[in-house]
Amino acid sequence: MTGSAWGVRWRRLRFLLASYVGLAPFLAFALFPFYWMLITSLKADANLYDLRSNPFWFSRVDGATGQPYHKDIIVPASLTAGPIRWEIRTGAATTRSDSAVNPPAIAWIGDQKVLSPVDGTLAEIRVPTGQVAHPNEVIGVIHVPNPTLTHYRYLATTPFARWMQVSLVTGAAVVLITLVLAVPAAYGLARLEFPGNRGIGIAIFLTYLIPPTILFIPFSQFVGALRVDNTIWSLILSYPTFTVPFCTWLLMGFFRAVPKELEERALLDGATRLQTLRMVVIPVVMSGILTAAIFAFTLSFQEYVYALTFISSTVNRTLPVGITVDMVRGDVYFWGPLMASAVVGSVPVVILYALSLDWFISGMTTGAVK
Amino acid sequence: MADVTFEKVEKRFGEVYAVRGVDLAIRDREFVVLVGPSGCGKTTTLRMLAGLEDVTAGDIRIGGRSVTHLAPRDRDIAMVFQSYALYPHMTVEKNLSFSLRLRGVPKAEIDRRVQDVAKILGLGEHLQRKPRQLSGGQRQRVAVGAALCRQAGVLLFDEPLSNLDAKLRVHMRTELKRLHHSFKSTMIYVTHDQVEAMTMGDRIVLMNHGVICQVGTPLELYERPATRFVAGFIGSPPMNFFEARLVAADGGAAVELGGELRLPLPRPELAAQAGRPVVFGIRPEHIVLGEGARPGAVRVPAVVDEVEPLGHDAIVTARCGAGVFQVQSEHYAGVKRLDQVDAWFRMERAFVFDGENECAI
Repeated sequence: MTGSAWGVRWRRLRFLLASYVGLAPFLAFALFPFYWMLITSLKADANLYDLRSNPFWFSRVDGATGQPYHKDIIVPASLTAGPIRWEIRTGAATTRSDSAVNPPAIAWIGDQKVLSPVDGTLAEIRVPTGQVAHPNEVIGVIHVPNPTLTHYRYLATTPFARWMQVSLVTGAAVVLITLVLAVPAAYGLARLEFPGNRGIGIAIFLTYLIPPTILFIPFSQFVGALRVDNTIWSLILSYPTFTVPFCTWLLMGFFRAVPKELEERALLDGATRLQTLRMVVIPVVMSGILTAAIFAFTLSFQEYVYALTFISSTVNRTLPVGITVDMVRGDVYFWGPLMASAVVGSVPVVILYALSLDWFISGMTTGAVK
Repeated sequence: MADVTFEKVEKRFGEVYAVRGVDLAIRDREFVVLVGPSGCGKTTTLRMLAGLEDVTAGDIRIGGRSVTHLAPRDRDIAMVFQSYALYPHMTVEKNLSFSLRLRGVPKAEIDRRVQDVAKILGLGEHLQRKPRQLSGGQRQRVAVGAALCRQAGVLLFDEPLSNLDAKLRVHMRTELKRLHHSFKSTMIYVTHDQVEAMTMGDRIVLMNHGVICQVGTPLELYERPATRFVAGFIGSPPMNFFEARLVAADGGAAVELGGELRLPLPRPELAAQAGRPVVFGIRPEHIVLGEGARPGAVRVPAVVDEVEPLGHDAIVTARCGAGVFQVQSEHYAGVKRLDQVDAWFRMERAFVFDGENECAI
């Protein structure tokens, strides 16, 4: 008897094991882009552009020299008495101790370690007692911290928060408009008998197939005529042109799956058509409506062409446009800040999905008709 | 009063008649079963009464009031659907009380009725569960309970037992009949199962091809079927039919099966119609196997094809010169395949139908 109990348990374990082993490649495939985004956003520039380091993880030493990543601290030519003034040169960028952001912080003579003004990391500065540093002499190095939050701190100096706000507000407004239009439209097309019912359904789907790249020029005319160009309203009004058809099509499927008897019983129970929709049909297709809402939000959150053409002022940009305009200059991609904004930008979507996961699952298991 | 009257009711889908010329009067608090093969129009008739299908022509009245053009909710009707149609997002309690809440019944009254119905149907422990947490039988009870809670004048059932397993079905049959005695509703029940129709109905309405074939008590339909179709539909195993001809014999009438077998009928008046082509019908339970003459029975020699024992009796398929027929007999001990047996046809229980229009003669 115990043997068979063990057998059952072993078989169940084997089944679980096989399932997870089978699913592992999919998980890796799905998660890899996020992993790449995350480590890129946390890597110091020195590591990021070091082609000889292991790209899949953080490196502490330069792949070419074997030295830790560092920046030289140099005594500038305009050396005066008093505290040593310094500057840090990394490529084209220079940080000076006399700039507003980096007040002269070194008030000592001799071998000491002091807090560097950059990153709050330890700098080693070696100037022998009494000795005067010569101009352009390297008096120390700053260890580049890796991983680092530099790129995230950089975001605070851009209108990133504002872009996020524009994207979130647009997304929320678009979801609202989409649901208000698509839910009744989908219900009507799925359930009510009227001439042209099928044709309209297909026409709605076809409008979704027209790519925005064809439509943005005529749309800019509308946007101009309505005098909403360069405002968030241009997006709130134009995004539903693709979210409404898509969500209507999506929701029609969900409404069709609701058994007719459920509505018929509600009608007999004393409900009007609208009460039936509100009290029976909509709760039953709630998972579908949530799916539509998430799609609408994601579609509007990631939209690029309309946002790029309709809005020119920096403060009214959406996240995708703001990021690409501000963090790609010419042909230089600032990968760190780019990926940092991608990480922060994906947070709302992740939260949305996480919150509605239970709904999805409960929606899929509500087989309560038979 | 919730008597229901159909007057020349018909339903067309385009050119196709689903229901035609239905005249039917159902008394208050009667239990009427609409029965027939699938596609016979019984469900359409029920749905027209519920207001879920438009009526093409004719009039439907409930309690003397024409409801033909009323919305379903204004008809004083509750319905139990074949698929149960429980609201999946509501608990059992909310499912039971939904119609009452919509109609603005006071809270105390709703609670009282829900408790009553839950008690009668044994749902008391499950009131806070969702439908998906219930078994098939329990869901079915909730569906019935939701209809009972309404205390509507007319209660409709659309094949409510067809999704249950055989044992539960028999149980629910009795249960529904018991409920009919304790509730004051007129009940109209649609099924394709003639056993359900026979056991449950005060009266049976047998439909075929969109028309009513016969209306009557179960025994009336069993003992005096109006047509060959009714005779074949009611009763299990079904009645045996033979193509035959009326003949005159020995001063009385007889039927001649397959040109050779002559069975005298106890109805001498039919002798006048000798030569008329007819269909001769006799139920399996009115044929007796065994030796020795039975009063009023006629011997037909036959060969056994198959024996299906049921315990108390058996269904024996046999073959005579005129064709294959079935016998339901208690005397089956020792009867085997290919045995020569004597089948005794009890002619006083036999039927004769017209060869053309298949009406009973």
